[in-house]
Amino acid sequence: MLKHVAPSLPLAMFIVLVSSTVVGLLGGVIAIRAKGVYFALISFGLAQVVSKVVFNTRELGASDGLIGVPAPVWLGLDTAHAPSFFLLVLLGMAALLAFLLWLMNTPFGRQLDAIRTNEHRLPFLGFDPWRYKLAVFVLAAQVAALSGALYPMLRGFVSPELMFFQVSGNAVINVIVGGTGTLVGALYGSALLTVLKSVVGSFTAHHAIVIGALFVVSVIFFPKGLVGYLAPALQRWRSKRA
Amino acid sequence: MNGDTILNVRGLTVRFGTLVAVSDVSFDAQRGHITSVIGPNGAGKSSLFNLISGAIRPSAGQVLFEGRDMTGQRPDKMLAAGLARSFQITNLFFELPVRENLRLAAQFVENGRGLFRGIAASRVALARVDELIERFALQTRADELAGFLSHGEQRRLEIAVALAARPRLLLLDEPTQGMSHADTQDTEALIRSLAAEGLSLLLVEHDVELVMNLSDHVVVMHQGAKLAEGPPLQVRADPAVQAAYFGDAREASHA
Repeated sequence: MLKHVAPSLPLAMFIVLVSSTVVGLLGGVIAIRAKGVYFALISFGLAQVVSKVVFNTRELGASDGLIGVPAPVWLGLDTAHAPSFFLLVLLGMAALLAFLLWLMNTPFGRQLDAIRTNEHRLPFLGFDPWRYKLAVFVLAAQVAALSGALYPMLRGFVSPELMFFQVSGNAVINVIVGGTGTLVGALYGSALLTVLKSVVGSFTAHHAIVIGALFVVSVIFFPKGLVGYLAPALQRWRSKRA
Repeated sequence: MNGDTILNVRGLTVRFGTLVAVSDVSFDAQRGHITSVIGPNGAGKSSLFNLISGAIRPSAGQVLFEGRDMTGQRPDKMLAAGLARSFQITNLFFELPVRENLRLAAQFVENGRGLFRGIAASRVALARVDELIERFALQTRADELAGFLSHGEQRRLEIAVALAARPRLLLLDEPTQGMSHADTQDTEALIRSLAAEGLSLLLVEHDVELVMNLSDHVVVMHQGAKLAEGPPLQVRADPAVQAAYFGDAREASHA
């Protein structure tokens, strides 16, 4: 899609936003019927379905991927140029983070926190959790789509492997290792695992084993993730020094 | 407004498989009155509460709130109509501060305004929170996580949360459950003051003395069905009620 409308970055991003909203609504209505592990399984299942569809559709690149995605230029930032692409990603991420931090401090965002804590009480306070869950599912789809849309800009190529389970699995591992229920957790998790991948990757091609082990260890010993473990520890250390 | 019926329960029945948990129960609750449902364990009191508050759907029968048929409506619709409830097993947001528990519950009074503005924009809800914190004497605990409160404080917060949306009928499910004697007395005074302000109350209680002291009208349940109803003294004198209930309850309250 980006291929045809580029190089207008804002227009491409707008189309990404609209299409991810539609997909998020469809997927959300199906997935939020389930909870916990079942919700995760259904979400992954839906991703697999989409992956198979793309893999078998010539127009979407099938097993070859999409080649020759033009790099858009926006406000003098040429995305094919690595430093300016980095700047663009950084700006985009900062804007998203700022938006989400703001959102979590509105009554809407707080309802999401309340759903995580005790979904069963909310209907008795006059709120239907279903609407909030659908809204946040769509929001998550939009965030993922915007991030994903940045991907081909640097190399001009969309690999079909991006549709594989590893990519969505990695995203989940990033969040869990970083710390669920926080916004910065996902950033720390991604940063840690990306660095780890390139460090371990320089010794062995089997870096997935190390990542997997780290995932298992963090689920068992740090169920609240890096942030959930480090933030209280840091606070204790600070109050001891004060 | 006192004197008219706020809640009509007509032939309410719920079956779970072959078990008939509530069987053809009918009664009315008057506006501004304290109506209580009592009965031994397993009498179907909690199921009756769940039916009235929309937590479960009835197999048969009707629930009319202020004359409107609300049978089988979901809890959020019940609350929007003006009917709120508390829970026997404390059902709070334990990982959130006391103030935030109340803020979530009070957000309804904003009528959906300010959903995408900073919390500070919800002035009506925040004023309601301050009011409740003071009334329920939670000032020193307001910024504590709800999970860190004592049992008595959690029970108090449970009622405060149910009250936050300014309902006209409040269902209290065993409000004094597990409370100390002093806390029970405070709760009794609180329920009285709520009724004095014109709130209609429907209570499920184990503490028979408390019910007899407080209630205008008592409904006695036994094995899923209504055994008797009437003013406290009349119900207490009923031989069938004494046989089914008060014998055991006296023993229990002396234990």
